[in-house]
Amino acid sequence: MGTKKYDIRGQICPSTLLMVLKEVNENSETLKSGEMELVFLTDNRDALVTIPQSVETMGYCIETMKEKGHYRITIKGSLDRP
Amino acid sequence: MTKTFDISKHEERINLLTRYIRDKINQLLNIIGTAPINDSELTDAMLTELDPIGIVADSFKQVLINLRNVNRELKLARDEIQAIFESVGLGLLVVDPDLKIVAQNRKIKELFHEKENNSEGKFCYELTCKHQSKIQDCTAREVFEKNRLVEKHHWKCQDTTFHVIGAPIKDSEGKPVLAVLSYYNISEQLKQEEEREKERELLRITLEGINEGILSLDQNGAIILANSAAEDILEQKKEELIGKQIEDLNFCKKLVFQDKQVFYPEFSKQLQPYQGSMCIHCDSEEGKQILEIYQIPLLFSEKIKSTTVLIIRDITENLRIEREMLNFEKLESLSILAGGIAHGFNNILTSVMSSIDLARMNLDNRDESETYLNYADTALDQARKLVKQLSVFAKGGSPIKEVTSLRELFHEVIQFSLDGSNVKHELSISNDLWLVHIDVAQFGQVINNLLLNSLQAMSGGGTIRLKADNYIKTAGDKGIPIPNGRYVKLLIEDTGTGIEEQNLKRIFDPFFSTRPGSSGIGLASAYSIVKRHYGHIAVKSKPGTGTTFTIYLPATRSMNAEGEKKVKEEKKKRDKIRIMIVDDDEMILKSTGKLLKLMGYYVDTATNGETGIKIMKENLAENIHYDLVILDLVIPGGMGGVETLKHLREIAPDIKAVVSSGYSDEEVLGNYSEYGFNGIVPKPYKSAELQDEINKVLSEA
Repeated sequence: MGTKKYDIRGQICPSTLLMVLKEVNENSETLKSGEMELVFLTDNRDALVTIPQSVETMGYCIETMKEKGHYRITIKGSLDRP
Repeated sequence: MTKTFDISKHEERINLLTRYIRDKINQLLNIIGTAPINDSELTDAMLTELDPIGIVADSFKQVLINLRNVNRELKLARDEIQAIFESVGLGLLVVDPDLKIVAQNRKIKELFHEKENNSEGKFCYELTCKHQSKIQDCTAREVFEKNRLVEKHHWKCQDTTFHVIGAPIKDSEGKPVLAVLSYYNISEQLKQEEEREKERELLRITLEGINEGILSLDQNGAIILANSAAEDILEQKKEELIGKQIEDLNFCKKLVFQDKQVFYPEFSKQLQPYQGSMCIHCDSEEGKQILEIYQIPLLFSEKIKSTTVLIIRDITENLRIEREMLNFEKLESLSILAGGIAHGFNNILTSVMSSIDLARMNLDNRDESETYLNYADTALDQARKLVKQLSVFAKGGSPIKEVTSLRELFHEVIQFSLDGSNVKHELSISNDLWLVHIDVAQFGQVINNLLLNSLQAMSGGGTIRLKADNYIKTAGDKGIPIPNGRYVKLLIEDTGTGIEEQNLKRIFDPFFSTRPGSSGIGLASAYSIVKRHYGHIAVKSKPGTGTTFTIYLPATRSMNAEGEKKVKEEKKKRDKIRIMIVDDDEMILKSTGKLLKLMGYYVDTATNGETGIKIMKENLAENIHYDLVILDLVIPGGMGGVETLKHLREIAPDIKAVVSSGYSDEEVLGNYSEYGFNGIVPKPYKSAELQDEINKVLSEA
């Protein structure tokens, strides 16, 4: 599985979200098929709410992790139905 | 007319449009939940570069696709739930907090006999509780009140018992909005359980109620069941018995290894399932205990696998009672016997006494007095016969047994008994007839008595059929009171007058007879002799048709053919033995002569010493030698025993001699050897005594 990593620290809303949505849109095929996952590093706390809300309604899975001085957000294609 | 370009108006329109676009972008950003774009942060050129509308539109496209997928999945899930709802074996009901039915499955209609197709909108208690609203035991109400799973194991509605489970469906705030109720009819299950319980109880009561001890064993010989009677008989508590190995029980310690093994079903399966009983003598705390154990192999049960059931009876008391009964019966038959003897002898004595009286009164008339004395003689002859027959009942009359074949005995007795009668006979003896262990003389008497009985029943002639076959008594043959084993079965069947039913039971009783002048001892002695041979005699009769006597005699272990050969050889040896009897009583000559013939000897008889010496001389001339002579001591009007022996020793020095006399006070009898005799048989003598003495004398060097 491939991983694309974006460091968007220093950016604030709304451009943080728009940036993420743009990358998700462009990689939608590989994300859904499970070949790819996207990782974003951000220090914008608001993005921790806005990104999951939007990306989940689009049918993706999201993981957030707090790292030193920033957050790591991982976006994957939706999980298969059990 | 040329339209002039108003630049200020143009700018105003562009500004308006830009404002509109920026507002709508912010509106979209608001919808997706992020902050608006600050006008000062992004120039129009930067805004176009960023393309927020494009990004949001693309995202929305994905949101819509996802929504469609989710909807499709939701519909599938709803269909799945609906299918489960309908197909599950439980009755399912969904109710709202007012207990109104929201949904129900097919099974619920079946369970509550609902005829209407749609009960939705009805209250649940109308359907399940049959209109008993506000009942105490309401599962649905409890679910809403407690807001958790509620389970009732035995909820009754009319005659039906249900297992009911209620579960709440909660809203996003966790409040119960609906309740799902499942109903499972357990009435049939309860009924079956109750019946099984009843059956178990019935079996328990039956097992506990019987007097026989019952033990069930598993295939390894361990006890898996014991009843109270077993506790009592074996003097051990049930708890101690169960789990114990059968060979550890006291009674089993008395058994040999093979018998112990019989208790193991696996063992008996390999051979043949053993079914049968055995008697075991044990020592208990209260003394000797006799147990009868009956074993039944059960090989059919799959659940318990193979098992054996032992039925144990304590027969100590039964045997004691049986013994007492036997003693009582003995006493009873003794009194009948004594009465019979008294009666018989009184008649004879009366006849003797009156005959003597008459003779005395007529002493002048010799012929007359002779006639009366002859009457007395005849009566005394009867007395002798009576005494002779009674000797069978005497204690000393136990049979002197030898292994023999019944074939020859049959031939001899038939010839003796039926000779000169108008009765025909048919004889059928199976070729491989087993040998028997019998007293030949006594048994000859049995057959003779039966033949005489038949003869007397056929005064007008007829046929007697005699049959001898091998017979194996098995556990299945009920009614013949003999132990299982090999027997020789004799059948004597006549075509005579038959015996009335009421007399059949008594014909073996001593002194019972329906024929005038009969002693009533013949069949009784036959019965007694057969019993002493551990055999059995039975009678069947139909008046006017005939009578059948059946005798079962235990067969010997020796092989028939080989054994018969041996018997013949022994008999051949005996055939070489020649005996002479000298006695003035012709009855004695006839009876003892016959007896000795039956024993297998050559016999000659003489009524006095002179005749005896004459016969012996004649035979010696033809090289026929005698081995033994039986001499009567006193012969009125002829040569007596002592003198005869002197003469006989002159012509046959090695001859053995036995003295016989009815007088007990003769000097010779006390010192017989001094007079040259080798043995003595005082009269009256029994066949066994005669045989014993002959054997003794002949075996002496």
